[in-house]
Amino acid sequence: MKTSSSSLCIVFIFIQTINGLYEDQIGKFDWRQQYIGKVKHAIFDSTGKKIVVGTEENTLALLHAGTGKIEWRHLLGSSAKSTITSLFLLSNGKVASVSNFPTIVRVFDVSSGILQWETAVAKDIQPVLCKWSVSKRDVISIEINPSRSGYDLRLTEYSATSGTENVSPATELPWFTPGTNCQLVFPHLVCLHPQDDAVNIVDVRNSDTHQRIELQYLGITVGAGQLVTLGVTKNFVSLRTTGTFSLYKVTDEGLQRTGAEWPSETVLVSVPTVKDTEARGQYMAALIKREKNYSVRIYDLETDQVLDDVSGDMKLPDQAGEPDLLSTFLMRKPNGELSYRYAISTTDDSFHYGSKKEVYWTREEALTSIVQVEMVDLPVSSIEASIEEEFGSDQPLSGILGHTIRRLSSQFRQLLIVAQQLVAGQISLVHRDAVGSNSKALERDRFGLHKLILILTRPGKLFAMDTLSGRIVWQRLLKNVNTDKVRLYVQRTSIHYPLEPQCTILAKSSTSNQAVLFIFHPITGEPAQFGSEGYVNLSYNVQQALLLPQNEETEYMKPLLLLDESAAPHVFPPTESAINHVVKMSNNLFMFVADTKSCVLRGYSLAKSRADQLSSAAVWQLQLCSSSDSVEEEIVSIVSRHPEEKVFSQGRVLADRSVLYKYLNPNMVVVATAGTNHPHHRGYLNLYLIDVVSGAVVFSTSHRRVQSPYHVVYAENWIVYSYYNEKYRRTELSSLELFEGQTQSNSTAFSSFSAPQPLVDRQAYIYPAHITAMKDTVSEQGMTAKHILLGLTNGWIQEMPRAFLDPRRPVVAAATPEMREEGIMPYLPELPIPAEAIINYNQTISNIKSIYVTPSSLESTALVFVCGLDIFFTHVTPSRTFDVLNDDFEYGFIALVLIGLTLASFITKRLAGKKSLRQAWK
Amino acid sequence: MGELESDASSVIQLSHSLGSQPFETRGQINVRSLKSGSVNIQQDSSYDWKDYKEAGEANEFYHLEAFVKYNGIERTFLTSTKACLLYESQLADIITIHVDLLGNIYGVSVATPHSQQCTGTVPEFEPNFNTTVLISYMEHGPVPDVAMYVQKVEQEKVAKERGETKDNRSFIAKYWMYIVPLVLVFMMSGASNPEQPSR
Repeated sequence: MKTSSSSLCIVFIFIQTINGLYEDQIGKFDWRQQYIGKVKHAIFDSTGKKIVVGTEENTLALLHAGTGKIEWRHLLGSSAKSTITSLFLLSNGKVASVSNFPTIVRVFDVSSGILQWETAVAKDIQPVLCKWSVSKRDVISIEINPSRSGYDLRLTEYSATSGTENVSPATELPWFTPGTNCQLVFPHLVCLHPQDDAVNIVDVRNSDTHQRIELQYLGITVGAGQLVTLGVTKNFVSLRTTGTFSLYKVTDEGLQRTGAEWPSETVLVSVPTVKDTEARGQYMAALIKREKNYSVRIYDLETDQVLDDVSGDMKLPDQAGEPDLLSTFLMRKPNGELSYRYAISTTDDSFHYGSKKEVYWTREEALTSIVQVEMVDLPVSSIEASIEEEFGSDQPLSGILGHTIRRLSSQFRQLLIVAQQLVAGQISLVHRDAVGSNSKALERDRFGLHKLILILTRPGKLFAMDTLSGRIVWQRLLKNVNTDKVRLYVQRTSIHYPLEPQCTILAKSSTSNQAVLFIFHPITGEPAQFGSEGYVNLSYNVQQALLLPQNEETEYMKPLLLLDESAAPHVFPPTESAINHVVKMSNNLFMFVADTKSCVLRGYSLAKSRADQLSSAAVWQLQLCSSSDSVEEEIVSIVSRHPEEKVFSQGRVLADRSVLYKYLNPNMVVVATAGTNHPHHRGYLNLYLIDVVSGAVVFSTSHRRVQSPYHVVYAENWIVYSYYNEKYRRTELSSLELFEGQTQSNSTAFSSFSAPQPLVDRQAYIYPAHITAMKDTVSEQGMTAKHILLGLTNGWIQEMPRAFLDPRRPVVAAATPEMREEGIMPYLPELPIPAEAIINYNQTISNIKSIYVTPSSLESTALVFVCGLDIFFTHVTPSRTFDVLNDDFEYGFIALVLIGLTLASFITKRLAGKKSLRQAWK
Repeated sequence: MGELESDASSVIQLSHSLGSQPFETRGQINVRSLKSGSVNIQQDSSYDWKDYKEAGEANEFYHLEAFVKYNGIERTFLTSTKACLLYESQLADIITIHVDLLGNIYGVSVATPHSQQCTGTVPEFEPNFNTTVLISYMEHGPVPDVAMYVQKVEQEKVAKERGETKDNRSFIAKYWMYIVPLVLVFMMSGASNPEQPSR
C-alpha cells in the first residue's frame, strides 16, 4: 500500500511537470534547419545534378544541385580535431573520403549514401607527410616516415570495391627534407621545398624515377624572399608566386606547362567534371579576380585557348567573402554550346552554386559555428506607433482644440493603416495562428513570441533570423575583424519608441591589437551613425566589458563600460549623459577580470571616478589554480546569473510553515577550474562561488577523478553542474543550493561587504546520457518553474524540471506527508529521461553546441534556440501554458452555451410571468 | 581540521592601506600547519583612530595585501572591505585563508562581523586589531548516494515482509474506500426521505 501510494505521488508530480507535445502541434512553433559546415571539398557527379561535399565539421553530404537541399548527410565522427582531408569520386559511382585523427578511409555509394566499407589506418607514429589519391581501381595512400638513413616512402593501395589493403615495400627518398610540401598526382609525387629552387618529381611505384627540375626551367623566376606555393587539381599542379600563376600537367617526362599565360589574378582553378567522357581532361576552369567581381574562364587545353563565348562574369551575393574553393561542371547544351555550372565556397563559410547567368542558391554554413545569440524584440506595429506618437511628449498644439485635432488625425492615420493592411491582405478576418508564414510583417506581436534572433558566427558573419519561420531577414559580413574573441551587446531594445534600437559588437581589429566596435540597427542591419560605416576603432585593447543599466537620462541606452589593458575604464557611447550616469553609480560599480591560464582573478572598484577622468582601483585578487609542476589546471567556466533574471519568491516554505530564506547574492559568480594531477593522470574539478564585489569566496568544492565535458548552470540561489566521472564511467549532475537560514539578514538591500555566510545543500545524481550543452529556462517575472535544458550527444534536448535536481531530496524510500507538503520527492540516484521530456521529439539536432533561452512577454513561455550542426527553435512552457487558452479551446461551443443560457433565461422569465399572472387570476 | 593531501607551513606578510594611501606593514600571520589550522598573528595598526574615522566618513576602502610563502611558492593576494565597517567594528576583523584540497593557498580575504551596517558613530577606541584568523578548506563534492538508497529500499522490503510497516496516513486516506460508499448511501437515503411526508 505504502509503495503504491508513494509511486502514486511520484506519478502525480510527473504529470504536473512534464509537457509532451501533441501530434498536431508538430512544427507549429518549432522549426529546424539542417546544415553541413564549411565546405572544404566539392565534387560534381558525372551528371552534374548532384554535388558531393566534405566539410570542416567532418560531414560528408550529397547536395541536390538544383535546389541546394541535402540528399543525405553523414557525420563522420564528432571528435573536435577530425576533419575530412581528402574526398574522391571513384569511377563506379562511389565516393571515398579520408578523415584524420584518427585516419579512416570510408567509401560510400553516392546515390544512396550507404557505407560500402571503411578502414581505420592505425599509425604508431604520425608520418611526416601523408597524401591520398585514387587510381582507376584503388584508393592510394603514401606516407613519408623518418628512417635510419633519411626518409622513406610507403605506398598502400586499398581496393575500391572491398577495401583490401596492399602495402608495397618502403622505398627511400634521399632528397626529402622536412618542411617540403608534396602533392600526390598518382602515380607521381610532386614536391617543393619553400626555400628550394627546384621541383622534385618521383613515381611513387619506382623511386629510381626521381627527377629534379629547376624552377627556372619551368619558366618561373623567383625573387629573393619570394615563396612559391604548390597547388593541385586532379592531374595538374600549379605554381604560384606573388606575380605569376602557372599550371603544369604531370607526366612521366616531368612537368608539362599548359595554358601558355594565366593571369596573375587567377584565384582558383578547377578541372571541370564533363558529361561526355571523351572530352574529359580537355578543359580547365579558372576563377579570376576582377576589380570587385570575379569571372569564370574556361580554357580548352588542346587548342590552348580561352573559350570567350563560354566564359562569363560572376557576381556573388553582397555579403559573401573571398572564394577559397572552386568546383565546376561543363555540359553541352542540345544546341551544341558549352555551358558551365560552378560551386564556390567562400571565406564567410557560405557555399554558392550558379551558372554564367546568376547564383542559383547559397547555403549559409556559417550557422554551424555560432559564437553568440541574442533574441531582440521587434518594433511596435505602425498602428501602435501612431498611438505612441499621439501620446508622446512635446507636441506643439495643446489645449482642448489641439488634443482633439491630434486625436482625429491619429485615428485617421490608424484607419488608413488598417485599410492598407486589408488591401495587402496582412489582416485576415478569420483569425488563425499563422505561425510559419513568411509574409508576416516584422512587428511585435501581443505576446512577444515574434522576435528577431541575432546570430554572431565564427567567420564574422552576422545574421538576423525571424523566430516564426527561421527565415534570414538580413546578413552582414564584418570587415577587418578578428573573431577569436567577439561579443554582441544589445544597448537599446526596440521598446523605447521612437528611439531607434542599437546593438554593438566588440571585437579585436584584424590589423592591430586594438579593439574595434561595430554599431548597428538590429532590425534592419544597417550600420549606425558612428565612426566610418558603423565601425569605431578604439585606441586600446579591451580586457573586460560590461553593460550598465539604462535610464531616461541616457535615452534608455545601456552604456557599455570597457576596461582596457591598463585597467582604465571607458564608456561607449562616450556621451556626457552616459559618463554622468557612470559617475553617479560609480560607488557601487565593480568589475572583475579573470585570466583563464594563470587563474588570477582581480576585482576593480570604480569608486574614485570623476566625470573628466574615469578611474579604477584594484580591490581584490585571488589566484585559484595550483602552481605545482605536476598539476595542470585552468579555469574552464565562469558563470554569472542572467542579468535580467527576477526571483519571485525570497524563500521556501517548509512543512512546519517556517521559511527558509534563499541566499540571493547578485554579485556571486561560479568559477570552475579543472586540472590533471600528472603522477596519476587523474582529473579533478574545483568549483568556487566567489563574490566578485568583495572578492570573498562564499563556498568551494572539489570533485576527484572527473573529466570534461563540464557544464555549469547558475540561477537564483542554486547551481547545477555536470562532469564525467572517470571512476564509474558515467555522467553525473551535482546540485548546490544556498540558503541564508530561517531569518533574512537584510531584506531591502544586499551588501557584499556585510554578507551572511550561507548554508549549502548539495546532492549528486547519475545522468544516463552524455551532455553537450546545458541551460536553464528563464521567464519574465521568475514565477514560472525553472527547467534545465540538456543537449545530449544523441541529438536530443531534454527538459528536466529543477525539482528533480533539488539537493533537499531526502534519502528515504517513500514520500512522507512533510515532503509532500513542501513538494519534494524522495531521492533517486538516477535521473530519468522520459520520452515526453524530449522537446525536439523526432527532430534530432546533430552535434549540439549551445542552447540559448530568452523569455517572451508571456510569463509561461520561454523561447529556446539550440545550435550545433543543425539549428532548432521552439517554445518551452515549464509550468504549462497557464496564462493562455489552449489551442483546442472551443470558442464556438462556449458562445453557443452563453447564447443558449441567455435565451433560456428570457424564455423562462416570460413563462414565469405568464404563470404568475394566471395564479393572480385564480 | 582539513582533509589536505599535503601539509605545509606558511608565513603571510600583511600590509594595509586606507583609501589611496601607500601600503604600510601591518604584521604577519604564521601558519604552523595548514592541516591542523594552528596559526598565530603578530600585528600592529600603523594608523590612528582618527584615520579610520576619516576614511570611514569618506566611504573609502580598507585594503589588505597578503604576501604568502609556502612550499617555495610565492603568491600575492589583495582583499578589501569598507573602512567604515572596520571602524564600526572597532578593528575586529576576520582574516580567512582559503586552501584547496591540494594544499594550495588560493586566497586571503578580510571581512568584518556581518552585523555592521555602516551607520552610527563609535566612541574613541585604542587602534589595536582584534583579529580572528580562519582557515577555510575546500569540501569534497557530493557523490550519488546509490548505496544508501539501495539499503533503504532493502530495509523497506524487509520491513514489509515482516509486516512491520506503520501506516502513518491520515484516517480518511486509509479508509476512504469504506467511507465513500457509506456517505453515498446516506446521501441517497437522505435525498429520498424529506419528500416522503409531503406525499
